Amino acid sequence: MRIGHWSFTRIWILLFLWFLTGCHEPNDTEPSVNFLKIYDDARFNASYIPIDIIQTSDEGYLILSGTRLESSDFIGVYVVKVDNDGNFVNHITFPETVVHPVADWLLLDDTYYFFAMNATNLSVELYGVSQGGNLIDPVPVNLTYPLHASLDGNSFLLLSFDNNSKSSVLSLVSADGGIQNSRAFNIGPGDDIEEPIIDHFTRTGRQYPFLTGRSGDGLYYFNGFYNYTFSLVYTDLNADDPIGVVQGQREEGGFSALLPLSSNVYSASRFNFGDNYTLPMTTISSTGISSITDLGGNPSLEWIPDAGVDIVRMTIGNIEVIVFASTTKNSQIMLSLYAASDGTWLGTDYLGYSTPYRFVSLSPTLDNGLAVLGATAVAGRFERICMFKLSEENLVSIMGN
Amino acid sequence: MIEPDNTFAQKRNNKRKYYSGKESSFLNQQWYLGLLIGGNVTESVPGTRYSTFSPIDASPQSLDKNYEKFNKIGVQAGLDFTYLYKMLIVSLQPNFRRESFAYSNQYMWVDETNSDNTLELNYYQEHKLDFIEIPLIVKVSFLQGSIKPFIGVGGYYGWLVNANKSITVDGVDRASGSDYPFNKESLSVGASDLFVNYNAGVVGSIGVNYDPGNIRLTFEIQYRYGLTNITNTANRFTDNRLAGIGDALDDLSLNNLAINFGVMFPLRFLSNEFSSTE
Repeated sequence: MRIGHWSFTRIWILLFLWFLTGCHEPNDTEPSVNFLKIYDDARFNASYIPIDIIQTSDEGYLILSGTRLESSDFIGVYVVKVDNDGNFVNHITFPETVVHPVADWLLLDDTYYFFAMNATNLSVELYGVSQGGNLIDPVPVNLTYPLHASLDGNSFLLLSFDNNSKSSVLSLVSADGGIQNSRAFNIGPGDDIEEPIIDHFTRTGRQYPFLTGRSGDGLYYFNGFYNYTFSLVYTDLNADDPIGVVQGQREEGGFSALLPLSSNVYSASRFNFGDNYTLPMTTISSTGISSITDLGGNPSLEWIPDAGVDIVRMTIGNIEVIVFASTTKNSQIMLSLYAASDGTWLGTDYLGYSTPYRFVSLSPTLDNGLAVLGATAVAGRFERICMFKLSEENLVSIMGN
Repeated sequence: MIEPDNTFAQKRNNKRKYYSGKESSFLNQQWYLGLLIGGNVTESVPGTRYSTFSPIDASPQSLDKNYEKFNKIGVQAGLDFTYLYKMLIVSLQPNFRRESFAYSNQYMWVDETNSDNTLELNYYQEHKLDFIEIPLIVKVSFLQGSIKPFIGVGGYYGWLVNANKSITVDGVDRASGSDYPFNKESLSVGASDLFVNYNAGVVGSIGVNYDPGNIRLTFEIQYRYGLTNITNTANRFTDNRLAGIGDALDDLSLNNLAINFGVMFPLRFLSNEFSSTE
């Protein structure tokens, strides 16, 4: 059977149109889905120390950061508002009388709060920022040396240090600065145990992973100094003495991150004389005295000594997942995913190439992705804030690695 | 009376008449198979601009890349399947082609307390993209005789088979006590994940065919106008190993100017009795 010349031509054209229209994948990923942004400053001497990130209800982000100050041993306060694509929108530069901002961002009644310190009298101040990045009048709090804060219902659970009584102080603070309840826990007499705390504030020594929160069995806890040791301390904020203590190794060991899962079950990581261990699922007694070294854990040999760690729980592709993040010895950010059901490892990924990166904080996003806050050295020398945004698809692909 | 049997002769005469008749559709058409080779230059056309850096003290436009236009030479080679009907030419030209483009970025940091202290870095980034491409071009040929100019339009679809990116860094550090210039350092990385695996657009063509005998020589200038964004939007940041130096691909389409030289062989009338010409 003879096929006419026009038939050949038609076949070519049809094949060509098929190629043109039908055989390639869509290429329309929105810029907000995943990105890396580095917030650069052309000033030679500018230096930024990121602390925490939170996504706002307009799908943008607020980044809490510190800055190096010429006139103070403490770091200054710097807040950046970025849009949902990660692009810089505006910033709040604070006077040098406001220093030492501490994590976490605290969302209460559409206002994003954080605690900082007055550089003159070392007292705690509560600052609020609107989702658009506008500062609300600060509120003084009758405490000193803020260390960490978390949200507890309509109040803030604040860990601070009292230099006069040499105590770690855990307090429930309201948004108007009032102290609803508070208990002090003595760190032990002598300068030896006070020195690492002061070095933490002046950033001349190790940055300790101070933490606060509420356990699955309803007790308050803080991760800080108590009785000569960096410890996890449980309290009901009524009794003067702790209900339970998980002792670290003086100032050389303790928890580096903690996430309550249920009752006495946690995901956690710990440091011990420079080594790091992950505990995707572990049981911690909230009563009595125990030792952190008894918890064991998986050695995290890739992490830098005494690495900063954050842990979040989220649902990725219909799977409940625990995400650990930290900094590797080759200056990348490492994400490790574990099943929330039994703590089994699901996958690992690394973020950042060609310049050094340091991990700071994680924050799940409204589109079920993950914001990863870090620091990087632009041109190998300028310390800048960076932010990775990973999509849920990116996170699902990690579980295939 | 014996009548001569001219049945066979009539058949033969009819056949000759069929072939030699000017109105014969058979003689009005021809198939060619040929080889093409040539060079090309590319213009990358940015759409929405992107950068890993988000400046807190300058406009985002200060980070826009400077694109070079039509100054990186690529090559292409392939086959040409051509069907000719009277003045109409339909040409399918599957080819392998390399298209190259480049852009540069400049960054500067200044000590606000001493403006003599500066760091200046210049990045020059060149991309080489290898495609297997199938253009389909409909041409109209003019004039009769051995030299026949033509013009044509069509479309193309290409599959990306490989992509590489090389970066050259230089600059001056004036904060180290003197004007310390960085030596030029080059780095090459695979970049296939940064681009989608296809490129499509429309193509215009102008050229001339020359028929010295039973072959056809062709010279053709083609201009491709890209209609697709070649940047992989999903991998713009996440799979970019150079993101740390601020690099993120803009949305890009490629325009390309190519010159082809070809030799084509007719697939019919390969005898002394008939010419390959129409």
